[in-house]
Amino acid sequence: MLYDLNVPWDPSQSPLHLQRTISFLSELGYDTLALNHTLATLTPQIMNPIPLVPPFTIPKKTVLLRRCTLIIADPTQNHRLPALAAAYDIVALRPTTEKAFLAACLSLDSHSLISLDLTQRFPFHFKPKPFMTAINRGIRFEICYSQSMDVSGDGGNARRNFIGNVVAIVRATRGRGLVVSSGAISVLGCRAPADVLNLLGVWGLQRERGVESLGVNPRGVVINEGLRRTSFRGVVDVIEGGEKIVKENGKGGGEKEKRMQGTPQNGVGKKQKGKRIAEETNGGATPQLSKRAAKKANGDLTTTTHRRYPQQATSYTRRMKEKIW
Amino acid sequence: MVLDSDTTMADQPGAKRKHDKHVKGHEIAAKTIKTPPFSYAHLQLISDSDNIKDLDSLIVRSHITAALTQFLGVTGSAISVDILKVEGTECWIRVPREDLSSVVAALGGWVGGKENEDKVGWKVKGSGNWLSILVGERGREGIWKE
Repeated sequence: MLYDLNVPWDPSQSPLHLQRTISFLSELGYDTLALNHTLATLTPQIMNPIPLVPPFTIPKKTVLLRRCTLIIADPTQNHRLPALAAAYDIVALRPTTEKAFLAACLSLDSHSLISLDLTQRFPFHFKPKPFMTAINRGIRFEICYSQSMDVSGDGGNARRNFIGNVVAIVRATRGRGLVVSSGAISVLGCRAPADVLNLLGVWGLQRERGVESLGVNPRGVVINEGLRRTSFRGVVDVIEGGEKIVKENGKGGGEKEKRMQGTPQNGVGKKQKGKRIAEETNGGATPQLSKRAAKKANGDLTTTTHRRYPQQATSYTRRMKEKIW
Repeated sequence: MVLDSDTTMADQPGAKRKHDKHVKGHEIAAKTIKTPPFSYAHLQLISDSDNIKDLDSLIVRSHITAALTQFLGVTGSAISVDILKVEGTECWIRVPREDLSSVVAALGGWVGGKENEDKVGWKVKGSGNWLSILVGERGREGIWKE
């Protein structure tokens, strides 16, 4: 399962162009793509301009996520990161100064990707310490490989700076904790995974680490961001699906039915709040069994939990309790 | 200086004894740096002609970039080289440790200068992981020459 977490999205982009890029990436083997909206300043009302459902058809197995990259220069300003995190599926930061970079690595909390603009020359050296601290906290560093093919403008400096920065990052992190994405504004910037691995291998990224950075690390980012938005501190996850309408609680069942129909057919469905609608207590005559207990009493086996991310295993104790193996 | 301090100590024997009581043992901490982050090189520009103009940072930068590009292409020119000091026809540079061998090879094998002008080249007078040793080696050359 390969991820490409940076497909640049722009309000003024032509949808046909984007569709071509998405379908080409899907053909190359990238299943989950994230449309990236780069923000330099924040509007007073934070809204996600990327449409939930794209205005064109996308290949069946492709999952589209919505991401934003915020450019920060001064960490002391209030960037309203939590509000940003609520509007987008993934939040990335692009620090431009050393102070902002250290803040993003060490203290700021609402993001899980640091995506430096590697075509710029940075006034500071990349030391291993802040990088490894960030990686241990769960933040990943992004490398957009299409920037290495940017021969236009700036007298070829973009390529030179990119190579120097990539070499420095790979040395500082020893190849761990990296996420590789395309950053491709057109189909010409997209490369197949094997090509990407070879290219980055030239600049010091070992093959195994490269494979990790295309699959394992971005998956971690996507799942972590999802957990952050739908669960309480990663412990309590909201389950949904597989609920049969209980005939006793007619009113409550009706509400639930409505909720299930209202589920948007999004590939991942992360945007829902998923909070249970508060049940209205009935007359008081019937004993207050919880819905779950009521269903169990009816012999309903569909109360088994559906994890949102099928790869995650249910815990041992829970499996014991529900006797699933 | 040492004699002076001895006499002052002798004048105040009481103070010395008090000082002795409060002196604690020293903790010895050892740290081994196996992989220093940077390596250093000491270069000299040599030329066909008799008189070379004194170097400045810009000329050093352009010559080093030309040498690296000729040997290693874009990746070579992407190696971060910090120019520490330029003095006369010599200069000291700092590169990341992993790049030292490539940089020394590139500089050593480069011949520059336009067609109708005199050729120039770099002579690598020393390279290593520690700058202090490089600087100390300067004096070593003069010992056997005269």
